Amino acid sequence: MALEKLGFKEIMYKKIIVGIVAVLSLFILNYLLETFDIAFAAAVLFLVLMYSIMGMAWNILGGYGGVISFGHGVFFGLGAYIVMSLWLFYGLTPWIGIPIAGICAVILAGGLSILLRLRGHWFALATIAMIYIFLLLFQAYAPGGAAGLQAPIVPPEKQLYYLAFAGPYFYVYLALTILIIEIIFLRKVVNSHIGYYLQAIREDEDAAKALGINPFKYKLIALLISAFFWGIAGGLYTVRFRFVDPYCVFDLILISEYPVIAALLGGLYEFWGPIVGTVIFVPIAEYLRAQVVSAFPRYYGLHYFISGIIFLILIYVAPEGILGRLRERQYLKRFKIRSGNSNLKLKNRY
Amino acid sequence: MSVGSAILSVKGVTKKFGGLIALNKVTLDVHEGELLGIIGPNGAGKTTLFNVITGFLKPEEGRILYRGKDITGLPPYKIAKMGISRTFQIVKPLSNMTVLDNVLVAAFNLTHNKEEATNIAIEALKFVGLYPKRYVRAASLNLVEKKKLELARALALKPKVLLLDEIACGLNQAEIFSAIDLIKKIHDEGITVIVVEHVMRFIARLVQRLIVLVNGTKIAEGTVDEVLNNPKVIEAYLGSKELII
Amino acid sequence: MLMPTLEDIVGAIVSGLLMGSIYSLIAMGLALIWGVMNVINFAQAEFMTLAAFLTFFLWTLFKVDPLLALPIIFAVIFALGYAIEQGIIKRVLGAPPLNQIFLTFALLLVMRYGMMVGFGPFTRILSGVPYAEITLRYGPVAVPLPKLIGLIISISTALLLYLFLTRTYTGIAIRAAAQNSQAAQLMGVDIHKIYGIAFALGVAISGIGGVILALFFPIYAEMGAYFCVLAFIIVVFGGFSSIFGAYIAGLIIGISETVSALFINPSLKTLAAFAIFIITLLIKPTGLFGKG
Repeated sequence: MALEKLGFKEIMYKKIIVGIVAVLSLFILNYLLETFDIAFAAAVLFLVLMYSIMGMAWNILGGYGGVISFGHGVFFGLGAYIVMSLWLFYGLTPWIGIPIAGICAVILAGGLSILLRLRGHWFALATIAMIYIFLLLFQAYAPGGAAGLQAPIVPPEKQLYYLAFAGPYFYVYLALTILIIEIIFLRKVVNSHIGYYLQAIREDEDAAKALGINPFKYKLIALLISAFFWGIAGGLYTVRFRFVDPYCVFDLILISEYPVIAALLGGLYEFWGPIVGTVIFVPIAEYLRAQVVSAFPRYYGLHYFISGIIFLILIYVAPEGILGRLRERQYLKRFKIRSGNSNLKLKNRY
Repeated sequence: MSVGSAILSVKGVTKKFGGLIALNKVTLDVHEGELLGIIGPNGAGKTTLFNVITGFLKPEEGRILYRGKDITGLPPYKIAKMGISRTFQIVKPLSNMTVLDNVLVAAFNLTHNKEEATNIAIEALKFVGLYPKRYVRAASLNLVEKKKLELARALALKPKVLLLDEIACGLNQAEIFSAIDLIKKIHDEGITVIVVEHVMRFIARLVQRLIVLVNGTKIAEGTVDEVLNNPKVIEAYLGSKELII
Repeated sequence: MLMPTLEDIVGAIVSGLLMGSIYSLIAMGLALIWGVMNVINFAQAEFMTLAAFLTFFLWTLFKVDPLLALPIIFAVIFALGYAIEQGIIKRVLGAPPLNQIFLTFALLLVMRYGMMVGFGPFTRILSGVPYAEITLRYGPVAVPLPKLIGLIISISTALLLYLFLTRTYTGIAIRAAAQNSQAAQLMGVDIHKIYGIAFALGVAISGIGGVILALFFPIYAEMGAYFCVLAFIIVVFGGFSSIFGAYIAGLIIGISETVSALFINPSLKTLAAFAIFIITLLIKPTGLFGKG
């Protein structure tokens, strides 16, 4: 047992060092990009970070809890609108606005929590319906309506106060910081009883109940946590793009689906899955959208199409994702047994 | 082992599924610290009774009392937290999690501290003999190991009452004997154990007291000998005593 | 806001009925697939869109009258559905619901945006079809002829489906498979084929809805979005596996949409449907006619 502990500590130190190196190199990368003014790369980097924030949070509910939501965009959209409205109508700095957005998203999640009573498919369906409901409501009743809201022009001395900088560079730093805080927080959650309870609920809800777990309570916790970070991400969107309209922020595919595809690509049951998936998926999707689609507007929708194809191939070939595959190989090697019956693998039986 | 007062009481419980009466005014007491067996042919309502006791089903009539408190209709997780633990007839491992994590989930019920919980989990695993396989994914275990896992999980809850649902199902002769030893070991720890079975051979060697359930009705109650010699039981269920033991 | 007159209400009911009959087709197909194979086909409405596009192209390029094109398009969508079922859907039939949700959703993306890339992000309107411009009037109530034709086709389809499921061997086999797939197999039913047929039939019926829609509705790749969610609402409301419950529910939802538009902001009429959906899921999850 003592021997195990020694090895464990070593691995932990190694991981921390790797983590610090990774973070530092990203900061340095962004600094270099800024120096050489490679805006496009930084813009993509920003999106990767933003989607990572969303993907990691979504995975707590989806991957760990087994509750698939296609409608997390409602929290994102709400967050975006709140930050914009507080800024536009009350002159409130987004430094305060963004946390408020997160809290409001949590409150919304609490209100929607009753949907958690629904089983798998029907919950997913209800979340899709929620996106449309919000889209319609905001389009009709939100300030700015269908046309949206534009952030006010900010004098140079107030740039930091309103987080209004030209170019993506500042926002990369901001997103990176938020992501790091999120990762530390989520790591704690996943390693606590909450993380284990969620997995138990995902694996077998009845067994979980017999082990003293209240499924609703923990699904709710997961929902609240994920809603919070999506609200924050929405606020991040607002300060970066300084324009919100219902069609952008309540977009089913771009906002709600991309993180899901990324999480699936990286590995649904893995902690780092969403980041791995985002890093691979988002640059490709963005490249397609920016380069191909703008140059050839006739082919608008190509990026959605490709993401759909990737999604399809993924389910077919590797539903456990990249990290899941790697873990599978590692597991088989270690225990020298034949393929374990991973729940996520496709089985051809009626 | 001295037999105490009734720790669990089933009073007049009736459970219907549409027109089918699964449990018909079943009344029985479980004494603290005893090793009780409930037998009956398939479809007699044994698992239904377990499900009602543990909160997975709500009875149409009757009450369940645990240590004097009425627990009828409480959700399963609350009943588990109170100290009534169960296994499932068709094993329910948490497939994608390791053996250790499976039991850890149960141990977290007693403490939110991961280190303490891990110790409790390891204790339970050692008790059933699954410690060497603690890092194996639950899905890779064979049936016997999965049943042991189920047991380890139930034990990690440190229950006062343990309900075992047809644990002998699917086991061969040797495995049944080692299961009997394991259950006796658990009972020696002071836990009240209720075993549901329809394999007479298994239960007769194990329990102190026996209750017979047929078609949702209790038809006999008493020591193993008393029950085996009860003409109603023989007629309804056994055929002939000699053939079984 | 002016109080709606009786005429308005009657007009709304008629209008809702006509529109609802199209919803019903899509929902009916969805319920069929769900009932038989336990698959929730998120891509259901995309087949409708595809049919609409095909109708448009057959008319615009080859001057084939939509009503004549109907059986052709039905066959095409049927064949496509069968191929998709055998090739893709079959794989997830035994898998956890997670995979299924993802798979049909991915199918939705591929179909919808494949059409957008293939046919272009333009909205098209069918024009020049002689009878499509006619509107019949019964007193104060205006009934556009294409919608009336649509209603007739819709009801006919429902009746034909009923006859198919009750009078033909394949249809009975499908119902058997829906009740108990293992028992059906034991009785000699080729379950692989039946699932393929059921899926193909379900999406082809949705395709019929698309052909009708093409007569009077703008055609664009993303039109499925609205109908998709609506179809699900209808299936839930009508009772999950009840095929004809879904049909009736579709008519009801259609009517509730148009009637509520008289009283509330018309752009919110969809909200009424969604609200009904959420409430139904929570209060009576088995729906009006369903057994859960």
